Amino acid sequence: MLVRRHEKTIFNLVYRMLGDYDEAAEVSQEVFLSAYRAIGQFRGDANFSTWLYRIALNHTSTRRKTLIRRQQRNVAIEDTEPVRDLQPGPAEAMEKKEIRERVQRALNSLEPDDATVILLRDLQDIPYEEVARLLEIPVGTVKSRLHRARQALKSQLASYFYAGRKAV
Amino acid sequence: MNCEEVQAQLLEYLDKSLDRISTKHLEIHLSSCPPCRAEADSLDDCVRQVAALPIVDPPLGFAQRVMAHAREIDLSPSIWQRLALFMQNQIPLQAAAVVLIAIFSAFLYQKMDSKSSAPATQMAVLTDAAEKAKTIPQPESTSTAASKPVKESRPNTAQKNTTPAAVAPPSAPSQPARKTDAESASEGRLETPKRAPISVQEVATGRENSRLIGDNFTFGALPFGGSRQSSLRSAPMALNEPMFSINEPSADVEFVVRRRPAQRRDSAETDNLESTRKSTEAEASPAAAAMRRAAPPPFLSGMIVETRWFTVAPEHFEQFKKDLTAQTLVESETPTAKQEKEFSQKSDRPLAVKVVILPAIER
Repeated sequence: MLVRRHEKTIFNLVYRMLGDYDEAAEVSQEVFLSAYRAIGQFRGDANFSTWLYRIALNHTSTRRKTLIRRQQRNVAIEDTEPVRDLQPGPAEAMEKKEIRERVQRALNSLEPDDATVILLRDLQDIPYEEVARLLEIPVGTVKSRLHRARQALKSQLASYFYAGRKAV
Repeated sequence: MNCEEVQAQLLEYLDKSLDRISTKHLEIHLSSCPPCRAEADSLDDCVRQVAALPIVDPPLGFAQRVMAHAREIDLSPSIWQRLALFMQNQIPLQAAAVVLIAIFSAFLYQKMDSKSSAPATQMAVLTDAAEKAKTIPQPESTSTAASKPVKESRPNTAQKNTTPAAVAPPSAPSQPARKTDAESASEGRLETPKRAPISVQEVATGRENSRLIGDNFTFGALPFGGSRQSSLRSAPMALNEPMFSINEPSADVEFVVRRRPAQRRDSAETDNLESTRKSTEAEASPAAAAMRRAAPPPFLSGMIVETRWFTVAPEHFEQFKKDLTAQTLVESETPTAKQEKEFSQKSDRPLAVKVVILPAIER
């Protein structure tokens, strides 16, 4: 029951953090199984979803480091591929898809803490207070970190928006 | 409002959490400042792009797979169960049993030790009885705890071995032969004074463990006389009768006696020695040998209440009682003389006599 209720939110958070569907499926499963094993440690003083998010972020952070090391070994850096050199899409759907992929890559290139706070606040629409509890930092720190993360994301997407607008 | 203030409030402006007045001031600035306007637009684009990311469905059957794995967790043994299984497989049962036995033995030893420290307790009686039961059926054995009565009994045990028909009055020619055997057995044995053969066997003494070296008990450890016929009384009684299943062995007759005061004790000792000498001299004659009787102890020393056990042949019981009365003050006797007479008439077996010795009243 709990799995069904939270599977989408947890899976989407993990997927956006990792950018890989299969990896996200595997890690999400680990998250739920970890929660199942540690359900006795849930004290009930926090929201269950917050507790579950925390487990998910721990697992994702570990897996993300592994993936980064693996990508560095493979030297397949698609991020450096200019967007304007992509084959032009025939339709608006193609453009949207490209934008989503670009945003995803930009998120993956951010620092984990920055990506986390952006995803929690802008994707999951979790209130500042809840984010602060989840990350165990003050609300003010959450806001400043979010502002910094947005600036970094804007920098990552700047070339695309410039090229995209130019292309459009 | 300048550019720095706008940058500071841009986050709240994009979150639409800024109050109305601040929002109006900020928008006025943005309309007049292209860099700030571009910054705000690009950040707003970022927020919208992230928020516009589609919700991705997890793989089909994701929840079922998770639940299946959860069931596997339930079925698989926990870390404690694994540890218990490891212990069960790795540590042999025998080792565990040895540890348990060691702990139990230590517990019993402590308990026994605390009980045996108390004088004249029932436990001591039972323990002594058990020791006697082990040692007395083997008269050759010299490994008994170094107690005088046992040592003194050696000449008689040697005698018993050499002359199986010693119940009959020993003839004059047989006397040298006995001596020869005794000499060859041990020099020390010959040095021990010969005692009058009495048909009394001391079974157990309440304070044998606490007996001092200088304590010259001379009574009751001589296994001979009528006891020979049915072997010694102590061992069968200790082994065949329910001696260990109850707190105290049952006595056929029980005396409560009091030691005589010091002067009287001395005279009693002298009397006893004389009578012993006489009986030793008379041992050569068949008539004297027939007079083997019980010689109760002089109870020379000790101010402690003692419990002693004797086996007395029924035909020698009267003599035993007479001597006991001569050397001690008999305070009570259970059962009465009449009852014990009836008992002895009915049964041929030796009597189990319990003597509780009270300290002398010094005047």
